Amino acid sequence: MAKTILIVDDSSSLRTVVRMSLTRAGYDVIEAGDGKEGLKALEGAAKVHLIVSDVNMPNMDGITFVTQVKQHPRHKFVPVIMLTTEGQDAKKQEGRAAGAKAWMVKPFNPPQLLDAVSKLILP
Amino acid sequence: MQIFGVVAWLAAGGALAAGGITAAWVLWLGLAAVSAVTAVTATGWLQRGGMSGLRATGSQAARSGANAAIVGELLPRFDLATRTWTTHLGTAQTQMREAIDQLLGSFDDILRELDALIGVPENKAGANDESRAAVLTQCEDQLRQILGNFEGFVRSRDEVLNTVRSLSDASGGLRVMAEDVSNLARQTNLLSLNAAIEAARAGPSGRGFAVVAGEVRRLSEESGQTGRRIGGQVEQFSQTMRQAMAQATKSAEADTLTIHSSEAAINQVVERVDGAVKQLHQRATEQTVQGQLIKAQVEQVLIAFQFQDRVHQILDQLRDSMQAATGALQQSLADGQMPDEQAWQDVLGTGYTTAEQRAVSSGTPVNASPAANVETTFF
Repeated sequence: MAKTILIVDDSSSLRTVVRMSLTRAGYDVIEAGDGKEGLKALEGAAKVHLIVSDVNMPNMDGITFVTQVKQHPRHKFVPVIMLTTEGQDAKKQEGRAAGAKAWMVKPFNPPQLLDAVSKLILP
Repeated sequence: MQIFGVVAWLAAGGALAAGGITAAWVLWLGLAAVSAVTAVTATGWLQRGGMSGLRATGSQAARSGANAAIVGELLPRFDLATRTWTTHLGTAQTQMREAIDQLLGSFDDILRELDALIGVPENKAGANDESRAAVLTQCEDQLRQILGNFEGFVRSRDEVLNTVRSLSDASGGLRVMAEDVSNLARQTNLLSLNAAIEAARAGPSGRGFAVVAGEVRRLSEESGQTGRRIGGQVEQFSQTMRQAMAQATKSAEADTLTIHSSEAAINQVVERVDGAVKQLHQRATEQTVQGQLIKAQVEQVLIAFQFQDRVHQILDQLRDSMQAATGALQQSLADGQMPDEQAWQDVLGTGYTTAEQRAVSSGTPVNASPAANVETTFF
């Protein structure tokens, strides 16, 4: 059975590129446009094996989203990859402190994303 | 003011270079107007001595009052212009997002169709080789099975021929036996003649014996005739058998030749089919390679589309920065003081997310099209 990955990004075009990369590799994908939608999507999904999240988003940013995910009893062990235009070390440390497992700066190469996903995804 | 103009020009230029053509042109033209208006206003204002100049002398005070009134009237218009431009900017961004989503959807369809055409690239070539070899082996096996059936038929016919040959040999024995019967009949005939002579010598007492001798003679003659008929039949049978054997031998030789030529024909057919299949496979492989190249190019295009996300972030920050700068200018003019340089930089730099935005802010050269990142930071 295919594993499910949640993509949280306010850019629909970026979500499309990520979705295409992941679905072509055999993963199921659900999408959300910001952190709030991401939390709702987590509640609605049977099981999410990994999250790919942007940082700068309206309504709820990626750091807040990850912080809330890590406080959730059911989802706190879901690994999170931050995929963002932010490349500053200070931001990376914020992501790390929030509970993210990896940080990738856009634009990304699909094989690079798939490599990180395969290393982190829950069994 | 001049800082704002320079930063705005650079940022819009960066956005244009990054690929946001529609939005960037709108922004470019809009900011040109902003720069022109602000530059003219600020230059005139500064030439006239700025706020401090306005407060310098009585006559100057009158002029400064007039300028303040003009600036007071300009500000709402400038605010309107800023709001109009940001609205246009938003419209252009929305249009660009929709167009890009459509393009991405089309590329997604293209990639799916390519996948359907060329299949799974990693195992395609090997699978084709195995499939081709399996089909050829199957064809060859079936053809050889037909040949095997034919050979079986020939073997079966040879066995029948051997049986017939043994019958032919047996007919030779029959011929000898028929001759023996004829010889026995001749000797019996001679004996019957001798018996008849002896019966005649015996006179009346030998009359009965003479009758017996005559019957024996008649039987020996009939036996002789039967022996000859048997010999004739056996000879005719032998001749027929020899002819049949000759024909069967000739046919067997022809069959052997047919089998050999059939085998050669099958080998030729298998080789030709193999050659044709190889050629087809080669073409399919070339098409697969071409398909993979096209796929790789489409995937590269998709990666390039990610830059639109950066462009949108830059434009979003620019929109917010324009609004913030307008507010800051209004506040500065209300306070009668030029904005502090650091505060002004902060207004312009709030919300930076990309390295190229920070490069503009620090005055370092801007890389308008950053390469895709290959490093992942794992925590």
